[in-house]
Amino acid sequence: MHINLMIAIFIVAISASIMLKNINIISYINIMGTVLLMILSFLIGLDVANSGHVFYFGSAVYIDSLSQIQLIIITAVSVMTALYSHKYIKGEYDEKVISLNKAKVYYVLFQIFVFSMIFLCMSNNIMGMWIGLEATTLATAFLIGFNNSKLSLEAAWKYIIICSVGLAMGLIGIILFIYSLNSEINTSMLQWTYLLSWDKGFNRTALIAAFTFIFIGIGTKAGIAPMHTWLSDGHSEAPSPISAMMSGILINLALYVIVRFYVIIRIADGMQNIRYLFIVFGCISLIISTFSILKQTNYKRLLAFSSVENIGIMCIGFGFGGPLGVYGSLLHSVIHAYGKSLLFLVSGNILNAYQTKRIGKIKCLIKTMPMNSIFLIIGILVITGTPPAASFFSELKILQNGFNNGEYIAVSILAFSLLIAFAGFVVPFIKMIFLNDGSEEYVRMEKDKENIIPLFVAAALIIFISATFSNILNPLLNSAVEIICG
Amino acid sequence: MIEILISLILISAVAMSGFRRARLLNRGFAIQSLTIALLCLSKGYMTGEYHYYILFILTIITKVIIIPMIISRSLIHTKLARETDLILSGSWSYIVMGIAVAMSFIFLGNFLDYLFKVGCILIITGAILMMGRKKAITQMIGLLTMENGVVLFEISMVKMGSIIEFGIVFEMLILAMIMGVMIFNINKTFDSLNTDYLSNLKE
Repeated sequence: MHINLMIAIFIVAISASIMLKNINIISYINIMGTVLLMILSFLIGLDVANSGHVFYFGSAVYIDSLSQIQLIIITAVSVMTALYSHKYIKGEYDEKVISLNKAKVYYVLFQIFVFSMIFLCMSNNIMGMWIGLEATTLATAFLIGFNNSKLSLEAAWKYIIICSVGLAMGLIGIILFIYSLNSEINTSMLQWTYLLSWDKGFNRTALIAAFTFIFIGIGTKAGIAPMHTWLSDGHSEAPSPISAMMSGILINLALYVIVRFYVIIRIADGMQNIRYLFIVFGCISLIISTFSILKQTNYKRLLAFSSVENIGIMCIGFGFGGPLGVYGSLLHSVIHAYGKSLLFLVSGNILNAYQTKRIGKIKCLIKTMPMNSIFLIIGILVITGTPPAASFFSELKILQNGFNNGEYIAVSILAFSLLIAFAGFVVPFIKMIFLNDGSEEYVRMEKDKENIIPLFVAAALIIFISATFSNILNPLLNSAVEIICG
Repeated sequence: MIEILISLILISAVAMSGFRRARLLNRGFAIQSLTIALLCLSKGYMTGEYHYYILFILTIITKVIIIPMIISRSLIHTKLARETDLILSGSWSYIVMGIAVAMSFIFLGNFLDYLFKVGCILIITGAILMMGRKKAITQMIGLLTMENGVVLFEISMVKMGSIIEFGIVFEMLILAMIMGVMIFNINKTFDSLNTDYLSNLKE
């Protein structure tokens, strides 16, 4: 029932964006659609909370608490970005930067993007997950190149080439994985729930190759270093709402697919050490991204590298593998999604007002854009993991698990990188917000109040999660931890 | 029969790795896809499983007809005739290909069948085309060649359901279309298809 409604919403929203000619109405339908999706995902969440997991359409759609977490992130962030897109697209359209057709294309691709992500996280079929991931690549390629400027086209071309090759590698991994099952397969065997109880043994060599291919291939999409090169370009050149969605949701989802495979493969004989892949690549991501953060002069690029850093933290949490670490990673994925979306949306407002991405050219935001700077400060505190925010507790839990396991090298790299990232993050933004060299008069800009509602939504969600994760979100997170840790 | 088709695929892969004319590359890709389609057909005839026939029809429609058409249209639009100034020159590409063929037959010795090895070689061909050339359109053909290699893997190792085959092929088609449009945009914005111009974004 819920799923049918969701599909109906997508059909209505997409066909409305194609057929209608009034941008305002299309945008309202878009917002309505995402809000309805959020309500539906909440209702599905109630079912999941009652019975542990739900199946739809036979067993083609499977939702458990792990996918429910992704569903919460997807729908909430898409509500924010749909709200933001309303004024963003309207502004571009009124200033004749984009044509009516282009605005319509934006909304169609927006819906397809959200649809493919929801498809991916609900799919029970392991190939369905791959198809969903590839569909997100196809939907976002044009969205990254949306401005048609030289830089955005370059970013889009890099994105489509690198991610397609990565996903082709992922497909090889999945083929090897199916081959390693040592058995004649039929269609129902591609289902995750079926594979979870697989007891006929694996071909070990093929399985190791399979997981490595899956990790590297799909990790490209997740932005794990050193396959992150598209991410910094793509996220910085895309329109801000799209950056928010890609950074907040998409990389989480790619990691989610890897984790789904990890859950099956982990229990096979002699595969316990496969978790070190997560730790090693997490550490590489942390080191590369933190040192890249230090030398950035472009604030959207800085945020993009921070996504690489956060995906590294999540990877390390999954790699430590204890309940604490996995809990920390899942909590971190939620809070990072909201925090990073907030930051990207604020940066979109700043970009809109100043028309530059250079950190050095923006000064004294607290006087020129006071509202936005407050949200900017909230976002920075959340992303760097400052105590009242939930991200502090998630990072603490991951570190704690590392200490319990005795993996001191990884823990020290993690702690050191968190410290550097904190400095690298706070210094440029403090300059942007507070630096007042007295050379000119700073007055409040008109554009400060323009696109503020989605920021309120994001900040409210962050505060809600931070205040209540230990009771409201806790059962959901704990049952997801049980799925991963077994 | 299957051996002949596999050797045809191998020959097309080796030949494509050194081609400089974009039109020839396009034709090589079409012939390669046609051979893969015929391979599916003969496999279907031998095993009697209908999903090979579906794969045959899908490959013929998308990779033999539509995708080469998209490529040749963008060739006409962009007036690109041949690659000049290669990173990996033609003769070196052949040498690398030779080494790759030898390696995959030595190291994968008794592991699986010829299809698997030729799949590996196709992936290496795709990689050479993507890394050794500068024009965006050659990179696109390289990516599609790589996908052909993955299809060979799939035929050789596993059987997926027809819906999934359809999903994969359909996405390849959309991917080719998107890349075609993007090549058009790149040509319009940069007045060239040379990816050297695509290097303004740096750390």
